Amino acid sequence: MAQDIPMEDDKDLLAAFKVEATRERAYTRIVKKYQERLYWHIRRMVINHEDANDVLQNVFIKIWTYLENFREESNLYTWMYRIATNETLTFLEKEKKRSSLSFSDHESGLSNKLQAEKGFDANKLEWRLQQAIQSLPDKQKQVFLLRYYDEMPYEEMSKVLETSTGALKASYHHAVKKVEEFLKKD
Amino acid sequence: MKRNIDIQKEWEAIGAKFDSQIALPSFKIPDNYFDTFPETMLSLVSAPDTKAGFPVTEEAYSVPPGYFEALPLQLLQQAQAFESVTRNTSIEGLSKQNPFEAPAPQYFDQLADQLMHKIHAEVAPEEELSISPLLASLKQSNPFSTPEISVNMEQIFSTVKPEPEVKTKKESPMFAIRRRLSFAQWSAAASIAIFFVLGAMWLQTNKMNSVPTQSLASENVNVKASKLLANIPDQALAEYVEQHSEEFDEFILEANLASVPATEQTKNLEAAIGDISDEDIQAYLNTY
Repeated sequence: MAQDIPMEDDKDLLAAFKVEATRERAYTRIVKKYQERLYWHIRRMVINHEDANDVLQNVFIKIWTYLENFREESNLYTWMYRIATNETLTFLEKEKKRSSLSFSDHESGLSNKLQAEKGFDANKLEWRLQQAIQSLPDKQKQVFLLRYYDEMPYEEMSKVLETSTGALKASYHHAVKKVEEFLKKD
Repeated sequence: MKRNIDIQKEWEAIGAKFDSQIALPSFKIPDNYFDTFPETMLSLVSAPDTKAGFPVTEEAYSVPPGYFEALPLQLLQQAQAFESVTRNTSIEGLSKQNPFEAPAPQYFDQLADQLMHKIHAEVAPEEELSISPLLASLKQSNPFSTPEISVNMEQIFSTVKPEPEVKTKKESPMFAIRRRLSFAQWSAAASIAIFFVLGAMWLQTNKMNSVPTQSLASENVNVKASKLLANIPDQALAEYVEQHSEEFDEFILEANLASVPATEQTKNLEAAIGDISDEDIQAYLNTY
């Protein structure tokens, strides 16, 4: 019976997804397993919940569409992070274009979004850390978030961001230094 | 490199007498140049205080005292610091506490269902058409038409295929030519038909216009026939009439009956038949 299929491991989930009868159940399990991690990865980049929700849904729609063709050359988790990262960067690029059309600054737009968040307090260190993260270039921001919050190994990160581990280490080092400088400023 | 004097000595030794014809290299080198050259080079590269070669000038750039001595240790410390930063996933003095407000608790519970609903809505376009039967019915109909000429695709592809079969290769181009010939034939047939119709119409028109001419022609025929009949001897005519008298009777009788109107003819026949009795007929038959 389909309900007896073990679906805890990613390989089991993938195998179940490729069977028509268990596809939706496997997909639901995948969503439940990774939704929070991907949500917070996206949320820290786009800041507000509505944008994060839009991007997250697009990510999972793409996962549904392309999961059947997933070749298992990398971890499912890594593959999903790559989709999430690309989708987030695409969203931020669109935001940048939109803000350039309206003659507004994208960075200040993100800062405004951050300040509009419920419970924002510029005196609190955790909020200042978020401000420091938003001041980073997009690539360094991604590296910092994946390393600092998700504690992703460089080898996996290199697959997600398609960058060498050496370059990722350098990026993270630069990002940490910039964050520290930002926090020391005030 | 041999010196000129050595070369001349060698020539003399072998008895060669072309020293006046071939000029020796005219470049001159200092005496004992090559003998002393290795020592000169060695002294230039090995002795720092040599004054013979390149003059040593004062260094324009200055290095802090003890810099090179301290450099390896300094680099090592920097590498360790780099490693400590990149290896660790935390920053000293900072916590990973999430300041963002988490979404409503049911958000993550309902996300999978929302996604499935969205996926089903996106993957079933036929279901969307159920709200419009008109559009659903039009989906299968194609207003665009292709030419009616039915082309055998296999034959066409067989020409493209690099197969060695000559028949299939030759048949497909002939197919197209036949189609063209067929059309040409139809055109020719139509042209001929039109030609005949027009010709018939022209003949009819000419016939109507040329009646007097035709009557003249028939008159000429009659004249010729009369002349031919006149040439027939009377004896021959008498013999022919005797031999075919019955035919002439029938011919005359038929001619008379034909000249009488149908109604009247019927009446005369009925009257004649009615007046003759059966005995008269029997007697007539017995007599003749």
